[in-house]
Formats: sequence, C-alpha cells, structure tokens
Amino acid sequence: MHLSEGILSGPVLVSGAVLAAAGTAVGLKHLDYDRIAQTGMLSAAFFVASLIHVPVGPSSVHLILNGIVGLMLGWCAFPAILIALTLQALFFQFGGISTLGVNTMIMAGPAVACYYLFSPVVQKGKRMAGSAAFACGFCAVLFSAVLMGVALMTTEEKFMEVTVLIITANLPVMVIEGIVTAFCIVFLNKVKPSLIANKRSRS
Amino acid sequence: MKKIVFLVFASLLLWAGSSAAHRVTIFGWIEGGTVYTESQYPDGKRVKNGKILVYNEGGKELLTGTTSDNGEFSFKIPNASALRVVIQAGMGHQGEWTFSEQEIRNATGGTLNAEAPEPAAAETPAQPPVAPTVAPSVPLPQTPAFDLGQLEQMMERVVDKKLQPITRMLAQMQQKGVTLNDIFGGIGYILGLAGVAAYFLSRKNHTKK
Repeated sequence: MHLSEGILSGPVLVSGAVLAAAGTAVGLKHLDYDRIAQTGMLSAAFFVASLIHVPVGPSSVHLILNGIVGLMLGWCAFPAILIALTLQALFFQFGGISTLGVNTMIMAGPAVACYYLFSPVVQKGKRMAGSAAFACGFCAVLFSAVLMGVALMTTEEKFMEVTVLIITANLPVMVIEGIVTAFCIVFLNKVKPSLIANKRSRS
Repeated sequence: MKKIVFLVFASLLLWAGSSAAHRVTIFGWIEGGTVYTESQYPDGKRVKNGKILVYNEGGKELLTGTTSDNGEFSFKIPNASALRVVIQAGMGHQGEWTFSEQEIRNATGGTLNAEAPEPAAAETPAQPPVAPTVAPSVPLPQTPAFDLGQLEQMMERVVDKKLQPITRMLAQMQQKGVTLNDIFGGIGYILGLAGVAAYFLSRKNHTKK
C-alpha cells in the first residue's frame, strides 16, 4: 500500500499532498483533549501493523488497519495516519517522504469514508456491530486499493488492469482486516463502548 | 464482465508468488565489466520477475530486463558513464542503486569493453612469480610483453574474485529488514507526540477556564 518515491508524477504528488494537508487540518480541528490518547494509541497501532506479515499461501501480506483507525477516530484518522506514515518512511523506508501526502490520502481517505459509512451501524446495535465492522475493515482496504490505482493511473498503463491487480493482491488483506476489525469492535463494545468514535457524545 | 473475471484470475496467478511488502531494495556491484544486482523485499524474499531498468547519467534508458527467481540480474557495462539501476516490482514498489562514473571506470580499468581481460587471463599461468611492486620501476628482463596494464587487469580480476563473498555479505547486510530499535523508536515518537499535543491542549483548556 505504500507507494515508493520516484514513481508518481509531480502533479499527483502535489495534489495528494494538498488533499492530505486539508484532511489533516480537519482532523486536527476534531482532535480535542479527550481524544488525544486514543489517537496516539491507534497511530501507534497503525505504525506497527504494517510490520505484521500474514503468510497467505506462497506470499505474505501485511495488515494496514485503516478501517479500524477510521472507525474509532473519524477525521482524526488523518493526523494519526500521517504521523505513522512519516515514521514508517523514516524508520523503515516504507513509502517515502515525497509520497507522504499521496500515501496518507490512499490510507486515511478510505478510513474517513468508512467511518461515515459504517459508524452509524456499529453504534446502533450490538448484533450488527460485528458484521458492520467486518465490512468496514474490508472496504477500507478495498477503497485504498482503488485509490492506489487512481494514483498509479498517470504512470502505469491502464487504470482497470492496475486496479484489478492491486485489489486481487490485497484480497487476503481485506478479509483478514475485516476479521481483525470485527473482533476489535465486538470486544470494545463489550468492554468499553465509549471508545468507538461517537459524534454526538463528543460535541 | 468475463474480461474482468479473466483479469482477476490472471493477476491472481501472476501475483501468487509475489510478496505484498512495501519496500524493495536493490544492491549492485561490479565484477570484471559486468554489473550484478540483487533485489529483495524487507522480509528477505527475492523479487521474482521484477523489471530492471538501467539509465545513464542523463536519464536515458540503456537497457531493461527482468530478475531471476533469486532476484538477480546482471548485465555488461554498456559504456563508461554513471549508471542508475532501477528495480520495479509492480504496484508502486521501486528501488534503485547508482554507480558513479568513477566506479564504472575503475571497474572497466579504462577500457570500456570487458573483452580486454581475456588475453590477460590466458597469460596468467605463465607468469605466476611476478611481484607486483617491482613492476613499475624495474623492467623485467624476461617478459617484455607483460605490460603494466595487463598486470593491473589481472590483479583486478583476482581481487574481484576474492572479494566476491564479501560483496555478497555486504549485499545481505545492506538489505537488513526492520529492527526492534526502529519499531520501539517509532512507537516512542508517537506516544511522545501525543503527549505534546495533550500538554498544549490542556494548557489551552486552562487558560480558557
């Protein structure tokens, strides 16, 4: 999911950076005192998740966790993911500094989208929460794959082919993320329901 | 619809052996006029069927190729200019390795083509006891044909051969994956940043009240 440096063209990098900056600004506005600890923790989780390689058949994939980050943080996913990606670029050389904006958009954009799509369902009832959380984790990675295809569209051949390729390669990740997200949400619903992002209770 | 299904199937086959890691590294070294490269993912998996692009100093594409099952790719040095070897592993993964012009010149020993060392190699068994230090000052009486350039090339070949395991070891060390220090360092940064943010927000809250 991390785009390396030197692949994307200038306009894509700049527009990614601008969008990511806007998203981060909105996220920082939403970031109040009560949510800082949670944002930090999920940022740390996101930072480490990329290192967890799950062997699937002959290949291995890694977790992204942007679904659960979005579900629990809402717009605050932007600063959380931006910081985690910056540190990943610095420490692990995953992605790169110049592609930071684009990578943030690719992963945080779907996180926020999934927050709006699935958060109401997750908060509604305990029965639905698990399956909605699964869908959230699944779709976040799916949307990320599509966004990545869009970002690569300008440099690689055809949008359709590249996107299908990325989606198939990440299919196992989607399923695993869905399961992980579902487990986390079901667990949190039992133990500490207040942790799951709630627009009404915050304002 | 059928096309998409086919595409999905084809790409599944294509990507079955690939690792969805997010960094590719390439390490390159020169041995006697040939550039060798090794590409891998951070978990140590080799990049199979990765696309290799070789550019010269001006960014002109000189040659392309694909990596073997061991992630290796080698090519003869095309001309004596700086080289940039780029590995593309697909899906936005790319790494590169550069050789400076000096490195290339040293490796080719002034001559551009790698053919030159061949006759030198043929002569080597005939002249084993030559001490390299005497060569420049004292003209050896019995071997007038054995000139300095050939000796230099021969030595380079020997040194290259001796250094080969070390270069390989270096290649492996260069491509070390993520260490525990990196992980905890990163987590520490995040917690620290959260702490700083909490501090400033709490001050803001205080002044408001």
